[in-house]
Amino acid sequence: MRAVCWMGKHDVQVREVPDPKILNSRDCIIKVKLSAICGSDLHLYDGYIPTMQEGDIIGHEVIGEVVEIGNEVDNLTVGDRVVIPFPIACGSCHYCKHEQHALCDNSNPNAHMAEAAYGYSPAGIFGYSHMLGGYAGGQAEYMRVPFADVGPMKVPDGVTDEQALFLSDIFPTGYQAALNCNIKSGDTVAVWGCGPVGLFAMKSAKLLGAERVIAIDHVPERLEKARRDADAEPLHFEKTSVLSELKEMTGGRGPDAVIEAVGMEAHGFNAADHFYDKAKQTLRLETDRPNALRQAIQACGKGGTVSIPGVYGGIIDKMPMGAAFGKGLTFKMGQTHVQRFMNKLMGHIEDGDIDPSFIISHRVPLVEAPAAYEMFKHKRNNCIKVVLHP
Amino acid sequence: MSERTHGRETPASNLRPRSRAHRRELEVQRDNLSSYSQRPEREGIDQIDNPAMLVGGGVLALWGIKHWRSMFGLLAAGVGSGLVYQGLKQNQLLDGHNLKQKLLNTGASQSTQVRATITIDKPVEEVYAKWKDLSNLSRCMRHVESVRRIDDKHWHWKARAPKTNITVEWDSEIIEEQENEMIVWRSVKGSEIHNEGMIEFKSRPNAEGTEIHAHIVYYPPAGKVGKTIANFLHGISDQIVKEDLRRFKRLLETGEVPTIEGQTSGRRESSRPALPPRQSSERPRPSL
Repeated sequence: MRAVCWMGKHDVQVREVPDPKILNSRDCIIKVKLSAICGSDLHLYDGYIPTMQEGDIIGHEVIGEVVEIGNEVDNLTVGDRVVIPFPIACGSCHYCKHEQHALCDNSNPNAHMAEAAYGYSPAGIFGYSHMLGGYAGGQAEYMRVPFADVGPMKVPDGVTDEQALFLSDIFPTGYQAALNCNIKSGDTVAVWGCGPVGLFAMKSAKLLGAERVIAIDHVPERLEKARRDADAEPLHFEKTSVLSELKEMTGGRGPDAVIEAVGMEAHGFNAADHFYDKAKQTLRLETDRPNALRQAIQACGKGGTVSIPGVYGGIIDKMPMGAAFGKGLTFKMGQTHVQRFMNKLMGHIEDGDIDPSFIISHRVPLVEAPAAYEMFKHKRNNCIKVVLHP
Repeated sequence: MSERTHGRETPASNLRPRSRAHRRELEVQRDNLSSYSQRPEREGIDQIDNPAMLVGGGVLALWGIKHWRSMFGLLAAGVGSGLVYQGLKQNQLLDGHNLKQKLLNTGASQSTQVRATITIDKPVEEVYAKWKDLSNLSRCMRHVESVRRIDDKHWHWKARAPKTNITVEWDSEIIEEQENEMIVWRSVKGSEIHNEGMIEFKSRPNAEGTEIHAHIVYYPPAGKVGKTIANFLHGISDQIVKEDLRRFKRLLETGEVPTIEGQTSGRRESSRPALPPRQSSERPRPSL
């Protein structure tokens, strides 16, 4: 089959690889109908996620059709159309029982690697480094799905592939980010980053009763999309002072919660700290560039919540801990417990509350993935979200 | 590392926790496993444990012989020899075979102690029952090839050292069992490799599963098999035991051990480019 393989920094290739096989009795194999390139795939592309190996198949946003089933999987039949959550979860460990699927105790075969880095190992993830399981991803024609009786969700007939696809990651991720803000009616939420997760977070914040959502970015088309599609008030961080503007907009109180949907490769807000981080990151003295996070902490109102769906992989420094402590902030973060939200969000799609396909800017064949990565990285052609069809 | 307790053996009846306080006391004792089992077989692992008298006495006697003309010298030689004799007696070295064996082993062997712990989200009864049938363990212990039941108390083990082809075998006997609480075992006389260990089972509060605490000590013998065993022991570590426990947990909780062994990939040896490579001057352009 054809698959998108990570061959090194800034080098993904479409290669002919062996078809996937069932390896365990709770596996299934799906024929991929659509996959998408995620913002977090850019961290792999840029070489910031450790323990990638040349030839790893990537991609973790997938919808497909079941073509083969392991002996122990009794809730799926061949031909089922299923959307696959990106964290792999066993369904029976302590964390799965508490609906913390992204922290599954059992799905990472390389748990010892993550333990060395993080103390304890989170769940395995499709196509996202050996430290997180080394599982082959879904930017391919076929994919093996472990614990298939737990993760994959059947898609109702009334919902299209493009509408259901984003239940695999970015829609639940934006939703969890908004949920973590502990929104009360009348609240103002500021969101850093108008990429797909930021946009879903804005829409979810409104869904959960936020009065106002403020969107912060420096790509004009993205700010416009946030205004138009997510009913947000845009702030261009290079053209204004974000902190004083936010104070002005909120009568001096600041936002009740902030969402940092940018992650470890932020662009600078002011030259000084951006170049400081860039230099340290290049020299591997710091693995992640947390400019957006610093600013979000600084901007958050007293007693507020800092919600972080943006991906961090390692070490950051120059954290404004005094501001966080002095203002009594709450931090909530982590990978998304996708399985917890799929049903509820599928309901929202069926009821017409939201049509996630609004996010798609490009639809390209799988073989054009390398060019699509390049375009997505540089935000060329107003690229917001790329969907690949095999 | 290789210090072992001496003197009184702990009778097995003392191992049963009689109260909460006693259980705590047992936990303290756990750090010295040898107090649970009888001393492993004498040959092979015994060392000169108490060299002070021998060394001190020897030095004193030599000094005394050197200064034999003086009253002090004679006195020192006498006292020194007495000390040497006492040292030999204390270390049971008055017969030649023991002396040779002890000298061979002194400093030549280091026990390997490994500890690991994990929590399994199953009731303690289920975890204990699964563990008690030791033949289940070869499925999750990577270096153990087989565990065969001999009788109720005895099992035959065959293990392969990590990353080598060295195999070692031994028989173990269970010397203490408390249902749903602990299992203590040790290797029997004549085993290729001496080891003793203990697995403790603890229910977590609020039915939140079971903690397993494993503590194993391997005593390598010296002499002709020393190298093989040393290599075997070299591969045993806390991490290896931790991974064994993790596989055991995963088998119990999910019915399988998650794996990526044998999955597809785009490694160069098993794949090829699906498209002709781009000219480097060409800028990639999606057909949009």
